Amino acid sequence: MPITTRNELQQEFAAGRGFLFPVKWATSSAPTAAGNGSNNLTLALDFHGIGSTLPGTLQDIPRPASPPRDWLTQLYTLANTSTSRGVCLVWLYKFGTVNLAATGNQFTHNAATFPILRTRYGAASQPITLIPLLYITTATTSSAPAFILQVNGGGTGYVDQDGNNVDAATTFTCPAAATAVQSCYALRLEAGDCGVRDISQIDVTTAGMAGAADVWGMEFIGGVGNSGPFSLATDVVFAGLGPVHFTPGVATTGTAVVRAAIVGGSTASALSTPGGLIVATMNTA
Amino acid sequence: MGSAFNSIDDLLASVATNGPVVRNFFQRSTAAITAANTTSGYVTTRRQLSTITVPSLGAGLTGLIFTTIRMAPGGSNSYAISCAALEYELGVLTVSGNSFAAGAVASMPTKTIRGTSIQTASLLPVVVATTALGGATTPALTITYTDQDGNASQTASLTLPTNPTINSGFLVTPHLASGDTGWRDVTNMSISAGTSGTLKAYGLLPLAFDLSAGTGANAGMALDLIPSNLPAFVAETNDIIAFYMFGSTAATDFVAFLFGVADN
Repeated sequence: MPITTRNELQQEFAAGRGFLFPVKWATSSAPTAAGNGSNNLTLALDFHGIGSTLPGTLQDIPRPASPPRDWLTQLYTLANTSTSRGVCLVWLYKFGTVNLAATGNQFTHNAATFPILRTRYGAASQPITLIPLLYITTATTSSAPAFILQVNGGGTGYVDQDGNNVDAATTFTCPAAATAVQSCYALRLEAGDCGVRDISQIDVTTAGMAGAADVWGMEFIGGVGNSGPFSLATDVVFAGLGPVHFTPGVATTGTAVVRAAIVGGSTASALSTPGGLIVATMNTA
Repeated sequence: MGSAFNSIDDLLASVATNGPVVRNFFQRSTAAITAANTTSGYVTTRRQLSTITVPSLGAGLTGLIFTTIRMAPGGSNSYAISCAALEYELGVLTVSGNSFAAGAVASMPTKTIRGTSIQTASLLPVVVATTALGGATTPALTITYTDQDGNASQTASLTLPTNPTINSGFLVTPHLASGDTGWRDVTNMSISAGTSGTLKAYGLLPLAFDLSAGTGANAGMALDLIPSNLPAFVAETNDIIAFYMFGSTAATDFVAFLFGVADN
């Protein structure tokens, strides 16, 4: 019988069937501000501090291994030293990597097969929609790289939220010839699309002398308003939203590279030495 | 848990009838601690040296519910996370001789949560160097424990940094056996290297969290039991309240304020 009451959440927590972990995030570097060609939304990603060396080694939030049942979040808190920042707690699933220093089909897909699946409203193995993110792992030089979510010459670039194969026409352009490492942007999709189930290919139409990026799919866990040194504890029960499942989805086949991370909207500055706390309770059988 | 937490009115009535229990806590700066790593808890953890022992209460009063706890470091510990918790000493390892002894309590206690008696298990299992280790080069620490469901002889394995300094703590949660989330008891500890020092295994039941914004500042993230969703653990006479900080190695003063209401 799954947990249905606040009392049960607290009793299971007291019995030690849960997850409570203080998190000290790494310090990310300042991203390059987004422009018209890059969705006008500057983002910064951050990962668990000990074990991460940004942007190459990204540590997941350490959690108890192989819990027998699902987690339900009770609350989470986040904070950072930057001002006026909206910060979200997210799951990131790695689609693959893209070489921005050469033209043509430059996307290498992760070995796992997408879409990511999870149980939704009691129905098992449902495909979920992800927001595609570009995370610069090697700074670009010389020219601002540009690309289209398609196969060079025409063909499926992504699978949209409804499962349709899309041969895109919209160009994404990095905001500067020198786009800084750790910059992050939401990829541009075709009109009417709000997310993707998979990325198939990326056609780089303008290459830099250098540049490379990870392509991640973002699944929202929860948001925390954050202004300067203050943060809010998001109590998912009192908030009326109900406990969010704090367990990542799984790949269709293979094992997806997945990380719990925070993403902050930013104009230019970094996420600095932020901390936080995540509390979840294991669902009952 | 009795009637004091049934409503805000009951809390106020208890304060009016029994008076509150108020404690101010100050820990003078102690030495810098040893940072954790991916084989020793993932989050740097400090146990403050001093603790508070819950006093004896009047007739008919069963314990204290702490409705407000505020904590802040006095030094440059920007964005350190502080925790006040009921602390239960479950085991002691004397490194010299690799000798284990049971702790001050037999196991984690039972607590009444929302009207139901619960055998607790700690979601914050931690090992602390209560005296600095010597001669211990990246020692492997093996802990045998009883898990949250009562399964005995479970094993957690950590590799500690070389010679952890006094008050350095290491969270065991990421290193518990597969499927485990907490511990009720610790039945053995052994270490692969070391000539001196003491490691104690504790189980914590959190009372409140706080996030420091820098020197002597409280960031307004205090998670007291009423606005948060944590269970209200009743602190009983002779329970130990300990203070932990996560995320910083720096030496610092530490202050805390606690406001407790008697339960019946």
